[in-house]
Amino acid sequence: MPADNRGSDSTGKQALGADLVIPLIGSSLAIYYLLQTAELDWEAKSAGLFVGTVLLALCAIQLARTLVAVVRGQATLGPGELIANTQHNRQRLALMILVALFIATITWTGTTLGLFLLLIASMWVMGVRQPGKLLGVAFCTSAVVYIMLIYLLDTRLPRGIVEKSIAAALGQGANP
Amino acid sequence: MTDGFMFNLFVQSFGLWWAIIPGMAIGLLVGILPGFSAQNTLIILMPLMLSMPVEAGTAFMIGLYCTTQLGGGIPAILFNMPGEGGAAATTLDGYPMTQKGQAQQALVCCFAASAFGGLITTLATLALLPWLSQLGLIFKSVEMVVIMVFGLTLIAAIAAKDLFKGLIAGFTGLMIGAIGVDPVFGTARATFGFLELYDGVPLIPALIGLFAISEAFEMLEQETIVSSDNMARAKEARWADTLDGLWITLRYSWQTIWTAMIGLIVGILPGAGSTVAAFMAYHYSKLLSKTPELYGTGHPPGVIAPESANNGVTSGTLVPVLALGIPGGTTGAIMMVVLTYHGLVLGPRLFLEKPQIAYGIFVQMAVCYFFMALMILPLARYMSRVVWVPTKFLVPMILSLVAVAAFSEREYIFDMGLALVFGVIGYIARKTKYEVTAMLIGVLMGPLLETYLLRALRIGQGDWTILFSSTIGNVLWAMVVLSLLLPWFTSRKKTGVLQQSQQAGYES
Repeated sequence: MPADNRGSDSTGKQALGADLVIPLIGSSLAIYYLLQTAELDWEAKSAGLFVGTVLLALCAIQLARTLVAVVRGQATLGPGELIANTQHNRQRLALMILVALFIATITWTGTTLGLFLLLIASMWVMGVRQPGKLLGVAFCTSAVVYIMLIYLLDTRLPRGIVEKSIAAALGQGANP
Repeated sequence: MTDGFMFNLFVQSFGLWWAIIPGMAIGLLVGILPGFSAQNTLIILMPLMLSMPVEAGTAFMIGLYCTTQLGGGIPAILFNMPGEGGAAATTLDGYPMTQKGQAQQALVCCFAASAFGGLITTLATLALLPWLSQLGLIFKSVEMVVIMVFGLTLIAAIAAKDLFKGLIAGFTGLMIGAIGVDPVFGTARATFGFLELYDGVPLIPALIGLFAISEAFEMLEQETIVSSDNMARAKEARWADTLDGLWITLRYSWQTIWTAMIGLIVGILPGAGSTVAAFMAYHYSKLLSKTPELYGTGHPPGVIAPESANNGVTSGTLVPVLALGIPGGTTGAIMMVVLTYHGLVLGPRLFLEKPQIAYGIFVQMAVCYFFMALMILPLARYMSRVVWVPTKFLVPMILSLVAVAAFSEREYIFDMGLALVFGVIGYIARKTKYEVTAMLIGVLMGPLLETYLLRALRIGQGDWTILFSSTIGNVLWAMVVLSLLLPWFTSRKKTGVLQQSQQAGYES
């Protein structure tokens, strides 16, 4: 019987489907690795072969443990609270999408503006509604990142309209 | 070395406060921010160090490097997100202490153990330098394989609550660590067609995702990090709590010393680093403790052990550079560049021709740790107040800052996306009770173990018995077996004592 319970369904049984997500990720990676390295010299694949085989065996045992619990009527294969339609899960999903959007658009928006927009949007998702706090926190955080990482340390974080405008105002050309 | 010579070195090093303190300030900031390593910052600031006199340049560098290790523990304790790989083990007990309203004590334990552990190992290095310098030569591929296997046994120790899930997490980490080109032929393996994965999965995005992003996703369920019951206790934080943290560290001073020595030895070994040292120290602290069941619940020795070990690494890293002229890692290589730029030849002759430089670097380190204790310790009271900030502000700030931080190590936008992927995996793992720490150990140790194992097998021409061909290696193998069996024996003994006392209770 798997030791952990990630929530229960309407019948009161343990919903253990979520417990299989990590084994699924691990075994998918192991299978991909084993297939992809099948043609390589043994030295090149030996470590992955060993790790992958053990991982597949462990995942199979975990699946068997879960199925035994389901057959005995002690658990279901439901996902439990992991993907339930709750406010927290909706917030999490929105934050994931916002961070993904930030990463996807950072080369166009630049780091400072992208960060400013991400902060406002994610604080909105978290329930902050006061304009002063939204703008103040977003402005201060993105300003600190600009000063520290772009102006002082000159890292290669993507530059956009804000960085280029400040550079032009300071007479530093394209690279502030 | 005469006493007068060392005394003069100490006086000169104190005189370099103007270089050490700014280095410490930058190091603290770099340590706090996940993704910003001392190495990258030192590379960026190298022109500044080269423009200074050699003693001042090394003092600045030492200040920055040593304080980074300490700084990494601050977000590990306050937000469950290590600023440096070496602080990953600190999260195991540091964050539970914060959740119990003991953030100030945890920070003081972290600062005091870092300063004390660093100071002890620096003084030990000064005294034992000729012998310690040989250590890096004694440990060859075979011994390093055992050290790495040692590291992997930590997965079992960390996953004690549910060994099976812990092993799945650890082996998934190892599988992720096997991605990238192989160390012998340079053939790409399971890179999903991404050129960015040819060097393997980078540690910083994995660390940021598994710890920081997943924690932020979990944190949003609460209004503040500290529960409302413990908030009153957290808000009552007084100077007396700083003294309490100091007293706790003092009570565990022997542990601080021996875990710092683990850090020193691991630091000398090439490629191992502060993450391995911190996890080993945590493991042995738990293994030898009379109350191992308290580890992971907010037990101060669980903060003290990894923090003193990761600061012990700092002096160990410099031993092979100065004594042998061999850089064990990036920091050592940067140190070499700075010293050779000033016309110094590294190796044994440095101690004869320029003893004031060679010994001076370690004396500067001791002075830096002294300053650290004096200046950073009082800040714990104010730093601990960060946990009062509501999560509706903290979560967006953490997510946005760590997304930027993921870029910093290799400066690839790809790494930001990778951190998000690891964040989602880490969140699912946390929710379903798969240990993210075990996964991180796998990601970290997998490539190291593979490199040393293949190197050893190449030397042995494919003969596996080479792994048992060295005396030191065999002693280490015995210790590995012992460390796996000891918890089992201890638990059996405890169960036996419990049964006896229960029987005695019934009889009386």
